[in-house]
Amino acid sequence: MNLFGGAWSPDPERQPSSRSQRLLVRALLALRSEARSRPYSQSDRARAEALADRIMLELPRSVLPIGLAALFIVGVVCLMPLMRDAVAEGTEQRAVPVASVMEHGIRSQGAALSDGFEAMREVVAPFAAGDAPSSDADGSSDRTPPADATAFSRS
Amino acid sequence: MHARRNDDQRVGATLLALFVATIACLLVPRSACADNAAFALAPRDAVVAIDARGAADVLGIGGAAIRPVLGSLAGEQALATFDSLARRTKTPADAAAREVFAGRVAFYLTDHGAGEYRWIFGVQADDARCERVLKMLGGRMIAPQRFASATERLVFRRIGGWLLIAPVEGGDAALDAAAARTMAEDAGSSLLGDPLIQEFLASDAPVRIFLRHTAPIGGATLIGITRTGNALRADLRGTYDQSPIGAGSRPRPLDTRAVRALEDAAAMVVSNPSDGAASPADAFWLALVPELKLSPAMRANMVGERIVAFGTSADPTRPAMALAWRVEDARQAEADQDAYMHGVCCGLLRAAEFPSSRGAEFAPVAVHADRLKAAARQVADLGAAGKRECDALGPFLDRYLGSAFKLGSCGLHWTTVETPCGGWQVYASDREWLLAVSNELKSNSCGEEEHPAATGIGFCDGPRAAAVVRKWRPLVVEGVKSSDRIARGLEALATAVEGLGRIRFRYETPAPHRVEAQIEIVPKSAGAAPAASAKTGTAP
Repeated sequence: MNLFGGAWSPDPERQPSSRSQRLLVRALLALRSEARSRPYSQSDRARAEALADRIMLELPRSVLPIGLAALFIVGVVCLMPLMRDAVAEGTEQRAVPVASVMEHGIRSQGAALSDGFEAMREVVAPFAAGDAPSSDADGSSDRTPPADATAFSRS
Repeated sequence: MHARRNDDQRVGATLLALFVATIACLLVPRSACADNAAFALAPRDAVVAIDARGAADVLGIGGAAIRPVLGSLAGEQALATFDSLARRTKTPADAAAREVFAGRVAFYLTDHGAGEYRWIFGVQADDARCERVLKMLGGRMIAPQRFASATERLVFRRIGGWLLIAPVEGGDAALDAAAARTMAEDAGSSLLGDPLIQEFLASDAPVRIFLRHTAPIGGATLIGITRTGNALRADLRGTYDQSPIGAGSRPRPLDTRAVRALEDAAAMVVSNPSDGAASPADAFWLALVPELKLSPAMRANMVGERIVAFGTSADPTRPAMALAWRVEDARQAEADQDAYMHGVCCGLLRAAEFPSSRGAEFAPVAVHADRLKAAARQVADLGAAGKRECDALGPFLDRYLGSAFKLGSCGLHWTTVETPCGGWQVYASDREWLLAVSNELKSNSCGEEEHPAATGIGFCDGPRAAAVVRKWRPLVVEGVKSSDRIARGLEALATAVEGLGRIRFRYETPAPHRVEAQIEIVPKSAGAAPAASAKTGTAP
């Protein structure tokens, strides 16, 4: 029977891993030996050993994985703000100074945009016929030199 | 090369200035009072100067648009810095931006030659707010009223209600000079005395931008930005030595409804006055295909309004293009158009097949041999079958523009649509686009709306235009190293246009060296507002 009054599951897959069990036992043995070796009073040592024995006896080994997981979660939750600050600090250190951002905006980014405008202008230029309508309704302002056109294409 | 780099950086500076102005405009109220102290900060030879006036307590709508605009214009690097500044003050990024840009801000840029620019950014605020800005930028006091931030490479000076900020390099001298100018408001040494800015000094626009241009354009552009609902409205007045949009044409009433009808489908639309008369710029094409010249009879049927529409093609590697002329008599126009296009297709075919005196390098592209044969059959059948399409345009453009333009798959399709008030002759590079444009013009071009007289009206849908540019990538040849720069430029352009959202514009040229325009920008984050232009009066 475990600490919560339940029985060990007959299904081996639902039982705690033997590695976890060994880990717990080693930890508790180490604690007990530590308590024995310390120059405490006899009564204190006895109490410590008794406590270790009690824990070893009563702590259900099935609780171990859950306990470790709980400890991990608690640790993560507690450390999260610190980690967030650390990440934020790291990002801040990588951020470029404002003066450099301004220079980058003026030079690099602007140059790239200028290249883009230039490329589109090159594309549009061959088709960029003037929009100017004739100033005379009778069409006398036709500025196309037809003589040039025919001379080019027929010669 | 050096001049080219200067131009690049000037464009960059201009865009940066527009970015600063855009942010400032998002944050200032329309009722800001007018004075010209910010222009007094700028020296007489400033190439960019911005005065954005407002109240510090306006932290309103549109703040969320700051980061996207910053990212699209200044790059991801700027976003990282922006966010780190916000963390320093332990406030959200948008709140941090408002902390800097709320109230009144000023910015100017001077050109020191050899690609060297100096800038100063000014914040007008009380001591408490200046302290917060200094904290955000990591400023430490180094002398009374003087501060510096080693981490941000900035120097600061508090003078006359302004906190002036400049880069460390040459910043102290620039701050001292700016402080002297603003205290005296000296027209002799400051931008206040420049003749090009005089008409701007009386403007009460919340944000005013002055841009000086180098030769050959010369002159300056003055932009006043106001806010109308979710949209930004820019009133632009330019005086130039040489107009950047070419020779001015006489304004005429243009149909805003027809242009607006295309907003749901097109990436970009421009409507201009045009009676079909050829211009000097058409000489090259007319020399190759004289049949392109419109007959006097066709021109006589034209009302004088032309629409050019770009959209998405079935072939994703190029845009779809359409050209439409408004005509008075649709039936006559249809007959004229068929005869005209028969000649044009013959001319395109001839020009595409014509042997070049420069040898095989300029011979018709082999890959188009089958298309040219098909086009020849189409031309032969044009009259009999009543078909209104030919395939000669793609090979023709490939030959005379080069395959890098990626227009070789263009077709040529045409139709005439009749409307209750006349009709339209429509030409397009794709059958689907021809139908889409024709249908919209057929049902949306005879409204009773006011037709404002203008030299041009139009719009650009940023996300659609960006998608077209990214897929098309004209002049970019895979595997050619020199194309990388073009590719990066097009990507930067697409990103910037995409971030701006929908842009509606209207312009005219009241004098040969003068351009006046109204531009309405509906930021992407604000969503499209189809009715906004009608409410604001911006055409279309």
